[in-house]
This record gives sequence, structure tokens and C-alpha cells, in this order.
Amino acid sequence: MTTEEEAEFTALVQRQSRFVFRVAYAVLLNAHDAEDAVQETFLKLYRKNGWQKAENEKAFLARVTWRVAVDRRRVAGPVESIRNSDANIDPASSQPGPEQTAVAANQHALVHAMIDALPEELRLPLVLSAWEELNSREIAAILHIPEGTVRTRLQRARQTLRQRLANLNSRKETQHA
Amino acid sequence: MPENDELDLLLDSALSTYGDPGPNTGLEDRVLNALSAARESGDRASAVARPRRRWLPWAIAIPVAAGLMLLWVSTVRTHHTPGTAPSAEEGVSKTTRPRRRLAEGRVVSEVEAAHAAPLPKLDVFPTPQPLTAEERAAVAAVNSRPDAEREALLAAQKQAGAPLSVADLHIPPLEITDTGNH
Repeated sequence: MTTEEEAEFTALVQRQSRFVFRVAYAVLLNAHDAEDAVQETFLKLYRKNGWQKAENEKAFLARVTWRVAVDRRRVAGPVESIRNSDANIDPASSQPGPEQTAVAANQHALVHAMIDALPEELRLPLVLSAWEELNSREIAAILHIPEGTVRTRLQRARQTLRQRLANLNSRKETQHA
Repeated sequence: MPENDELDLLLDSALSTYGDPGPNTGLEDRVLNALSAARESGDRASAVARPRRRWLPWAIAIPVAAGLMLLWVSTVRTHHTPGTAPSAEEGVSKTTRPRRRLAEGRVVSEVEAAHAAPLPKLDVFPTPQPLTAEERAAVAAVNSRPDAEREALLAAQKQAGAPLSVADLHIPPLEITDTGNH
């Protein structure tokens, strides 16, 4: 690589590392493995030097990262989320004087645990769609499924999470009552 | 339903932070450091392998260049002539003409040698040479034979130069005799 290309690649890493991490995490559900996958992805891109020709940078990176993460998981075996999906976290805490950010963080942690617990076929389209730069067509290309299937799975994923949250809320209300 | 709207908002909010390593965690720096380390180790590995592979292009290029050089030299020498091309009267194919080496060691074709030094014209061709031992023995044998044999040998010698004539073939008819055996 020339000096200019080295600088461009460094800028790409700084610009997209977090995005690549999130894609890897969606597959691996483990921060350490996800970071290893990020390094492996960028090393692969550096050696192949195909990143400069990509039309849609995020879609291209997501595709490569997804493949790297899936290969990693195939070698390492299925992993479980380190988060406890049955965490005893009160979504609507009634503790005296809770900070709004702490409540939100609690709620987010709960939902994240529920997302981890989703089957992968529902989790991946849901997570990838959460980042606005990727539309259903691009997600379909990354996951090698039809675009209609992506939309169907998105609906099912949201429905499942809504149902679980509603069930959890009603359980908490019953306990408080 | 309002509850569903709230849940959807919660979902969207949680999804936006899902898998996010967070700002200022040093992820980018760690990735860049790992890439640098991988590149250095890769460069070292390729530097070790490089001397081994360095000879390979030369090992291919030198024989190819030598072969091309030989081909070129043989082509130039095959088509090289000192002046004009040989005339059609000679009817000689230069490619099939054998070569002979001169005293100076220079390899030239016989066509070139003929052009270089024209041969003298002889009155008698071929030039008479002294009799060999076999020829002397043959002459002695002829002289020692009786006259009839000598004349036959001389006639045969003359005939050797004369055109051949074949006598007409005459086959007499067969005479079949009846032997009485049936």
C-alpha cells in the first residue's frame, strides 16, 4: 500500500470500527470475540485491498464482518450470551430517586438480553435494520436471504420482543400488586 | 395501543445501543495496533521467504534468455550470406548444403567456398589417377587369361558402355505326347 492508501485505511478503521464491532457482536454475543472478529475483518480487508472499490461501505463491511463472525462461531462452537436474559431488572423501577439515565440503562440492558435470546434468524435482521444505513435489500444481500424474508423476520422479531416485554411488565405489576 | 407504542419506543431505543462498545473505549487504537503487529510479523515472514524465492525468477529467466539467444544466433547464421544470393542455375538449397570448416576455423557453406575460390577447368574429367591395387590385380588377371576369355572380357567392357538390347522372346509350342495313362 502507498502512504496515501495507508492513511485512507487508518481513517476507515477509525470511522467504522464500532459499526463492525456491532455486526460481529450480533453474531457472536461476546465482546471479546467480537473485538477479535473486528481485527480479523480489517486485517482481511487490508490484505485483499478490496475496500476501496465498495459502493456502499457499510453494507460491504457488514457482509465481510458477518462472514468472519460466522466462521469464527463455526470453529468455536455456539456461544451463549454473557448477559442473563432472565435478569431480575425492574423495567419500571419504583426505587426512591432513580436517575432517568440509570432507568433507561436498566431497560436497555433488559431488552439487550432479550435480543440476545432471540433465534439468530430473527436477531440478525433486527439488529442490522437498527442502523439506518442498511435497508432490507442490503440486509438480504448480507444474509443471503430474500428481501421479503428479511421483512417477515423483522416483523416477527419485533412482535416477539414486544410480547416478552409485555409479559414481563404484567408479571411485575402482578408482583407489586 | 399506547402500550405497544411505548414498547416500540423502548425497543428502538435499546436497538440503537445494542452491541455498541461505547465511545472512547480505545477499540480503534487496539485494532490499529493489532494490524501493525500483524503487518510486521507478516513482513518478517515474507522477508525470510524472500531470499528463498529470490532466485526463482532468475532460474526461469536465464534459461529462457539463453534459449532465445541460441535461437537468434542459429537464425542469423542460417540466413547470413556474404553478398548476393546464389543464382538459380546452381539449384542449391542453402539450408540443406553441408558445412565445412576452413583452416581458420570459420564455418562456411560450400556455396560460399565456391564463390570464394573458383576451380580450374580440366581437359580430362575425372583426372586420371594411378591404378589402385585392386585395379592392378584385375589387369594382371586379364593379361594372364587365354585369348578367348580376354576377348570376352573386352567385349563385356564395351557392352557396358553400349545401350542394352533385349532379343525378342520366342517360346516354341509344347508338343504333348499321349502316354496312354488314364
